[in-house]
Amino acid sequence: MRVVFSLFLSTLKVFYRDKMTFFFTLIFPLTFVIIFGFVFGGSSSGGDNKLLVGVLSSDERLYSVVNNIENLEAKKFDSISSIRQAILEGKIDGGAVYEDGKIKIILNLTTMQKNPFSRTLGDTIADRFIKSNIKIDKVIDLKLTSIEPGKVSTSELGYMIPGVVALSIFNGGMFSMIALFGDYKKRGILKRFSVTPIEPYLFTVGMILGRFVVTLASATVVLLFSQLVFRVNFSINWLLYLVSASTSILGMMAFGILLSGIFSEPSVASEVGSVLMTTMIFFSGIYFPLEFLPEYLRRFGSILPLAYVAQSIRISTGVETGSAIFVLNISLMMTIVFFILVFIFGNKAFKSE
Amino acid sequence: MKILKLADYLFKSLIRDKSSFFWLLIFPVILLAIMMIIFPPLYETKSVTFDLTLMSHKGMFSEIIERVFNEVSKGENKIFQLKVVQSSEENLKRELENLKVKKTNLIVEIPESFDAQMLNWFMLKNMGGNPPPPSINIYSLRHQASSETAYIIVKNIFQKLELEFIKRIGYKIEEVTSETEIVGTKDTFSFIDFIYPGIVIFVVFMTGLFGIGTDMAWLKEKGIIRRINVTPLPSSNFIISYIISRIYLIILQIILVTLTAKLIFKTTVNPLSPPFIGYSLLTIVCLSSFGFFLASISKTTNSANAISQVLNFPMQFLGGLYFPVTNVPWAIRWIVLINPITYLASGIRDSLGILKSPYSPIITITVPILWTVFCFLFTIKRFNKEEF
Repeated sequence: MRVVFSLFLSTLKVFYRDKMTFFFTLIFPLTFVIIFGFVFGGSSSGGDNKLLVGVLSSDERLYSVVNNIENLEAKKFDSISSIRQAILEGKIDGGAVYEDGKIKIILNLTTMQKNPFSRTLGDTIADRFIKSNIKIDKVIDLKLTSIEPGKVSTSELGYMIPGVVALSIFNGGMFSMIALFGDYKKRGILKRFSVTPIEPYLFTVGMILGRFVVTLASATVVLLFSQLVFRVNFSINWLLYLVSASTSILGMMAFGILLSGIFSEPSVASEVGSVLMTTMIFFSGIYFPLEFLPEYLRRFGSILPLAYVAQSIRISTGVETGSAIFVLNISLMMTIVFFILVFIFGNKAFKSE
Repeated sequence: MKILKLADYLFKSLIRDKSSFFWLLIFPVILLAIMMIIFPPLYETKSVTFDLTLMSHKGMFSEIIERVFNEVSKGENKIFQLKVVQSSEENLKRELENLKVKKTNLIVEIPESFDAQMLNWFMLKNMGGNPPPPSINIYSLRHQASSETAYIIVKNIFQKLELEFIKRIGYKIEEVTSETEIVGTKDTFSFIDFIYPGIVIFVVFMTGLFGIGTDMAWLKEKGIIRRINVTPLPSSNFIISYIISRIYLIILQIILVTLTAKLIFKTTVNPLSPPFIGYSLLTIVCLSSFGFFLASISKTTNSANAISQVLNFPMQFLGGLYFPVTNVPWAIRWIVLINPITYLASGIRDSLGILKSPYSPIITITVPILWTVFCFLFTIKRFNKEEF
């Protein structure tokens, strides 16, 4: 046990000294949280944030129409060019101008990305504008209820964070095993250990345990950091979180072990890992919606392990509905794959040395 | 001649390295392709069919609404995959569960009292009253782009339907249409035209960070420049060759990205236009000098790599390469403002008429030039002290 503990402690130290692993496991996800937190943190997709719309001060009718629309607030400007400039500078979200029977809506890309409802601003304002003349505001009142997919009401950022945590788990698990089974082997570290009285399995357990703990800690730091700094709402089922995060780390470690087994050159395994990471960032639905992609790409996205890790973390943090059975099935699968691969490749790595 | 020969050798040795070849030449093309797959459908959702549950019942107005939804749910280009169920509490509960597990994108519930309320509304309106409008409940799922888009479409359908109802009760309706302009764009917004100059800046940035910054730090760490000092080749010639080799690389990168953008994704941007060439040259000079600056402040390859990784994503995202960053809070706005990529990206897009820059052309040129001057002066001073 003392051997395992010493190896565990040394792994912790190595983690913080190894700049690349430290970066990809902790700094990289935190950077994403900070950037997305500040850029998208204030937005909410439910349309409950007021959009500030610039209108010409000479157009009282349009000003009053815009102000009467829920989720919109009108601000007066002297000219169209001053509205455009204010949009460019990010002072207002959009502009509306009525000219010759046409409502012209001016938006910037950020508003369109942050608030999908802004894309129908033209139709909504034109509709209310027509009705304002005949003193009819609405014929049918559409009452929208935005259902939370999980137990807790959270912002767009809150829905995104479990994906970032999953990414941290993916990076930490996969790259640590590429280092252990690829880099350590290449640098002769495994060979040196094989001439010591330490049993190979104790060495493997100690190293994996160390990497496991730092990855779990990093993922949890990312989660708590976002909760603390950006006041993101979560309803964390800690038991389910620990089970899903822990087994996901094992699953991602299995992925790293597999890559080290396939590519004997650790740098190649690491490069392939980086390519997989990039692919998964885009196609596992953690940052970008996949619903509008062609069917074959959605299917591709659905076989990526990061999508399942993210879903398990979303369920355990309460931002998505799902049964504990789903999380436990994923966890069981990850654990089985891990033990099979660590048994096959762990033995192979030491035997070859 | 020797300088060019050495540049040729340095260029070849860089692209023979599989990792550099992939990340500096192939990856930008893959990134452009991925972006073109992911993002354009978010702006145009023409070919998408949404799962819509309509909870209806018998009644004149409810049946009109049902007919309209049936109409848009027919044919090859149907907007909705429509499921009509009877309005009831039990059905609503079941459908809400379906919504939560994403089996449907949106629920439109016409309450049982709707038809009676509609009749009432018409009667009172004809008598000059101001009755409250009857309501229809819509349930969407938060954080799901498809649910939000389905709601936008349903809302538009109801707006048109309302105007039809109003016309039928004898009101004269003025014709008001609407059009949307994305600020700063001259023509219709095209994602490839927006992203292509961004990817050009991205490839130069990658070369600056990893092809120059990390690589130069390695040469420094291994003492290769010092060793060259004792050969008949002056180290200044080596540096010139090194810069030329990176220019070869950047030209090759830009050609590859341009061919992909032009031939596959049909960008309308003319890569031979003077503004594009001018800003590309400014980008090359500025971000290459940034790479040298990075090498000069890093003691080891590892630390250069770590600094590059730390700077890589914030500078890309907060430089506006992928989305405009004009209205970010001040906590990170300062990064946007000191970031040379912000001005290069805004400048190149503005000069091509893709997206108007919030900064004047003088600023978009001056800030990168100031960065270039600072980086080169700092690097020369540092290298003179340490290497020569």
